[in-house]
Amino acid sequence: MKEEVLSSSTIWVCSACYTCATRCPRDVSFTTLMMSLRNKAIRENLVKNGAKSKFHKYFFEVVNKYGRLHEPELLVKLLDKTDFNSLRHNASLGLRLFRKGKLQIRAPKIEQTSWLCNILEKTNEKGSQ
Amino acid sequence: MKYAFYPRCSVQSTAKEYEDSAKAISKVLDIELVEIPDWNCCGAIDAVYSFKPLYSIALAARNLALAEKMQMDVVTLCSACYFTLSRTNKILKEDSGTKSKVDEALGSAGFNYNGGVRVRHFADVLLSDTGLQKIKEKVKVQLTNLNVASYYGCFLVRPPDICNFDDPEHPTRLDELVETLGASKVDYYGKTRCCGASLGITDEKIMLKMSKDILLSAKNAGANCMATACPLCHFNLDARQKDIESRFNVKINLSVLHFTQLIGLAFGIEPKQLGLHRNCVSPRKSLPLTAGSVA
Repeated sequence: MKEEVLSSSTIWVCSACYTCATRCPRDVSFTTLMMSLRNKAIRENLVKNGAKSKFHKYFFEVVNKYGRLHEPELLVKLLDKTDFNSLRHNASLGLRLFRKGKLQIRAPKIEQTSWLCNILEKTNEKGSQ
Repeated sequence: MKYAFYPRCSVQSTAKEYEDSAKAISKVLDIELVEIPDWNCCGAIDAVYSFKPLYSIALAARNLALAEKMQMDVVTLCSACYFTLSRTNKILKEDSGTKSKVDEALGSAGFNYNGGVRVRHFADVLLSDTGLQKIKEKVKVQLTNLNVASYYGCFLVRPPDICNFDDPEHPTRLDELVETLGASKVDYYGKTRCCGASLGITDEKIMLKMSKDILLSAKNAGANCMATACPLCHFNLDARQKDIESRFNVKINLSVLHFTQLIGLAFGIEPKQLGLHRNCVSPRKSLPLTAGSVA
């Protein structure tokens, strides 16, 4: 059962909108539960479709590098470079954003980036690499 | 009034017009937004949290520690940051085990957070502190031609023990604001439904369907404009609207404004200053404003 749950795709399609948690008459926070299951699935290496968990991994990597999110870098990391249709589709969105001045090419960076390694070490969550 | 301003990463890139318009109307309303020096990413709703929960809480807590030194309420334009920072406050208050680990992580860089910071959404500051009366006094252009569908989405109102801007099922505060500006409010079923959030990156077809349903329910209820209070919701409803149209073969062409842009228009502020030229669904072509009022 455990493996079935942790390798299911259900836990990755939850958008974390908190509607079910808000409506539950027994106050069960399914949303928090989904987040915990994702974390457990990553730690126990039971994610069936690696692409789903890559978002979390890359998001973390970008933030841990700059202290802030650099959206273009995250999106490029996530691109499937072998899928031509997806490349074309994303290029069209990228161009739309560029035309509207919505693409920040240079990565933003906090001054105290050294602190990021510090908290990573202090909060080191075993096996979640 | 002075506030510790937490800008959010995307507010300085994909949603630059949100920050510009918020600053423009703040000037008119004597609100001072003092940017938190060297603020960092809040960790996002679940992006970092699902991967490294403790690290994610420590990230958010650093911002709160920085703001605590300023002795002001934290104000953010982003509903997701409003949630993430508020959740951190709640966790640190209720979970002493997590708090001691986060304290240690903060302390290693000379930070200290005592839990004394109140986190607020900019919409709450406008409605609770400034008040509709003062906003009404500053209105120069009545937006009478606009039927506005206010979009609350998730994190303005959910989960209610963390985000309590308004009633979680039937919020009305943004609608009251819309009426104060001379526009008509539109009631529609999508007002608190999720736009799909970051599924836009990981599972695009689901997000496109979710946002399509919201846009169409607003349009079918008679809206000729939507107002959002979150940069991510705005991105999905505005910047991705073209993708929604081509995927589902529908014509929507519904202008989606940040609620701060709508207030700015009513205050008679130049459209360029409000960043209207950055909205992907062109307000110039789709908004029925009097000629010349939108660049």
